[in-house]
Amino acid sequence: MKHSASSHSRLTLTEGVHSKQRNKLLLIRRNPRILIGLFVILGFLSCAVFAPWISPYDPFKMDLLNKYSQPSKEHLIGTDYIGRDILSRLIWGTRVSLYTSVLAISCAAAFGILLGVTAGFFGGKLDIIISRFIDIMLALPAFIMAIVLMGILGRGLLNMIIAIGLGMLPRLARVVRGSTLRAKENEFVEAARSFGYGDWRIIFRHIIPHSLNPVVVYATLLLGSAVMIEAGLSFLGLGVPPPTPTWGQMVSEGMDVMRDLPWISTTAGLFIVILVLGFNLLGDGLRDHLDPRLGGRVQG
Amino acid sequence: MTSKSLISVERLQVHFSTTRGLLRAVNNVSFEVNRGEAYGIVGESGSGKSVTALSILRILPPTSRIGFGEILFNGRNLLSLSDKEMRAIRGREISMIFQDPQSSFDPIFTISNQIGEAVSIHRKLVTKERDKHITMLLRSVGIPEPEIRKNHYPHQFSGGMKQRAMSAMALSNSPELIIADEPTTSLDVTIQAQIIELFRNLIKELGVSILLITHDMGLIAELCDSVSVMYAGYIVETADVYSLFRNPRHPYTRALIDSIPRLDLDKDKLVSIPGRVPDPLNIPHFCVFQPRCNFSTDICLGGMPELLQVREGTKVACYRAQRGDL
Amino acid sequence: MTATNLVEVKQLKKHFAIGGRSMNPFKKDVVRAVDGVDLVIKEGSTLGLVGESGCGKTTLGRCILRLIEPESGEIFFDSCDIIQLDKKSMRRLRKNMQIVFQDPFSSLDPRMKVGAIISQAFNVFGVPGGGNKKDRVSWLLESVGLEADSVNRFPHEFSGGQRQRIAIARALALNPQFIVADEPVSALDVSVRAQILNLMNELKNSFRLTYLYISHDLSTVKFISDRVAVMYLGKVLETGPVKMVFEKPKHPYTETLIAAVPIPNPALRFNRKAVKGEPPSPISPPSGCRFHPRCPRKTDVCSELEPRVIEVEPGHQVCCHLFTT
Repeated sequence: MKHSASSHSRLTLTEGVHSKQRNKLLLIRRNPRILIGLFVILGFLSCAVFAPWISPYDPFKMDLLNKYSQPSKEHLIGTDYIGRDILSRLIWGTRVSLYTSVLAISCAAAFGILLGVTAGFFGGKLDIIISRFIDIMLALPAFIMAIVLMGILGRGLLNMIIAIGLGMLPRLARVVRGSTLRAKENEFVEAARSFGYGDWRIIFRHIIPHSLNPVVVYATLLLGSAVMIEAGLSFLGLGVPPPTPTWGQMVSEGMDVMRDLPWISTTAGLFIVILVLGFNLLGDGLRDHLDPRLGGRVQG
Repeated sequence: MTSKSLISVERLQVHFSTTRGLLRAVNNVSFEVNRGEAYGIVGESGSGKSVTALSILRILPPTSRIGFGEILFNGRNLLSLSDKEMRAIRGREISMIFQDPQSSFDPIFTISNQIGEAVSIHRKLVTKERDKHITMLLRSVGIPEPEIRKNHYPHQFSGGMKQRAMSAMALSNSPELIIADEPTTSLDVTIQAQIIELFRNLIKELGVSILLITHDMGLIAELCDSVSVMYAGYIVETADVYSLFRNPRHPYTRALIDSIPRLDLDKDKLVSIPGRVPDPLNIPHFCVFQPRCNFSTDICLGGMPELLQVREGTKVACYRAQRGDL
Repeated sequence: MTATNLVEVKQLKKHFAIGGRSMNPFKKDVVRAVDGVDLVIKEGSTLGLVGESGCGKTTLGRCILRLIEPESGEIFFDSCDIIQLDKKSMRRLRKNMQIVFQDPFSSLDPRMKVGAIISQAFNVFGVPGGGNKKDRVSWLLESVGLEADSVNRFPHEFSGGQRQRIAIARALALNPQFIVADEPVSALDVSVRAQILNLMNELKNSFRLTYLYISHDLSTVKFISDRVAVMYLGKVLETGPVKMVFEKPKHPYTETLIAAVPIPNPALRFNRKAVKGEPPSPISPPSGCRFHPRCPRKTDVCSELEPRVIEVEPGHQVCCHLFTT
């Protein structure tokens, strides 16, 4: 049974004054997913940033005499069909996957928040139009939409960011609209109005901060999806054009020699899976950590 | 325990284990409800009154633990009964009315369906008999056109009507004791008056006892025969209702009565009690009201006073009141 | 010297259209929350507005501040009809009229520190009289009995009563003349209510405030108000000095309301009879006088004609056929 704040018959426990720091550490320790996720993501981030230094070879350097070589001391995962070092290409491929997903989700978040608060706060016809737009976009799975958009826009990094971003935008907008509707009900919004606050000031000071928690969690999880979509597009040959190394493309290239040289596709696939897992773990952990029930009022 | 006594709570102690420590919700609480009597437990938030009521029916959350104590009902100690035995008592010999009628009924079933369910847990009745019984129950709590209304859904009932329906459900198996936890808090004052009248009639005509849990002193004065005042998990005063209001012995009771704005009296300023209720995680070992008490002296820091009789029908947990100082 | 009328409300109406119960999209149900209300609040006084749920008192309070836009009618603040004002002028006027809400939990943004919550007001209007934001916030906190170091803490670290003090400090930030208090103590413990009510009275005297005190609790209204208005289903049925109305009520509804309040004195137990029936729905109010279906003294004309407002004593008005000669 839920009891309103004005019920006095239930026992209430007011928050003791405890430092926010201690609270955070305790929860992170109880939530290893955040740590593991962060660890994985930071690992990949380092790969991307420090690629020129940690990559053993230039990923574009061909060595036609050394095609499809077995893993050896010189080439830890062997070479591809034109003698390029697989490991180096995997390391450099991190850049495409990370940059695409992060930029696509960031844009989707920015515009999604804007659309979501507009729809939720102002309601009426604006809300109806935006919500229909969101519903229509959500009718197509994000991957199919990305394929269609790449078909229209053509290949390239920027186009991929737009294609993936547009697919994720309605999902974030919907979440923000929901939290806006909830935040709007609170009396501190009316109070702000009584101080002469205009609509947009209220939105930025009171509504958007209350949407940040769900957006952060959802965006983190969507980062995983974005990586998957990018890999899928690259696999289909719709992503960044060669010779830029991308994991999806490497999986595709390795398919031809799957029986004899299974490690080419497998390692690329593994990199994809681990990065996605990293984002999912972090997102899951964040969701529990940011749950409003923790550190709130106890009634019972 | 005399033959008049219906239920006797003795030295009840309930605490909760929380992530922040041990929460002592109910401390050494003892009181007795007689047959055909309305007994009130009054207190503010954190007083432990609700937890006490829930302990009787043993419907506390799993984080709770009943430290020790006994609840004697019809010769049995409720705290020692098995789950199965308790289930036979809940809704039959002892039933409960909750504060918020909105959430007490399931919105997808009719009122008749839900009351019928309460009946069939305890008795085997043929459908026709059960329907007749339900109609009679609804009529007895003052719901107009009960034959029709019993097939309505909860959202078709107003707040007051829902509370009456709740009372009907509580009466459905002829209980000896009804526990009412803030039954009128969410109702309008005119509807509250109707419910008070309903409760009075139930006591008079059916001889059922009512244990009323509330923070509203006015409600206590209207309905109850005897009262216990709770503060921070302890009972600080127990008396018959007339003595309690005419001559409150405990400083908290006095302050509580003085702080209420009155329709029948003129007040320039309300007496307010400085400070706040102690943190239930950190109940002091001396008199729990001492930090806010205008009459505290050195002895009050010696330990929590026992609830002792100071005159016929009145018990107080206060050193100075027990000495006759106040 | 007679005090001026700081707030004057004339024939205020606010209707809400809600989704109709029938499937017909063109036929929407209308809730007549406020249906033609006249009120006068003198400067420096407290007007209590009482009524049960659904009577429209909360809507009326918000309409007066134009937090909800009324349908029709006039609202005079300091002789100026604020309904006619455009958005910009209205915003400028807002610093003179503030509100304190019932729920101390949802009225303070839980993500903001107390200092930021109180100084929100300064973001639009600046600090009244010039001066330092911090100093003013400290001074406000002290005025409501809180410690100055509360500025860096969050609402959840305070009890309900303390949160209401914060809300009051916030309302006082801009030196308003008029404060609407909507059930400010209903969500608080009984012993804490007294603290807040005493505080409100002190502040009223120190700062020469005018209050509209909205509540369903008659005892509290009697304590804090100078005059009281009784509302039922969107209409004001009786207005007058609080002692007069509560000790010698004229309208039958006021009588039943007073009779229904439980008195903390068991000796007075059986003096009253409860009124029958339920308050009708504000969507389809009864014809004629809205209270007639439940009125113990109704006459034939009551179900046909709406009564006019009659002044039965100086300053005491009733809206009831029993008093039309």
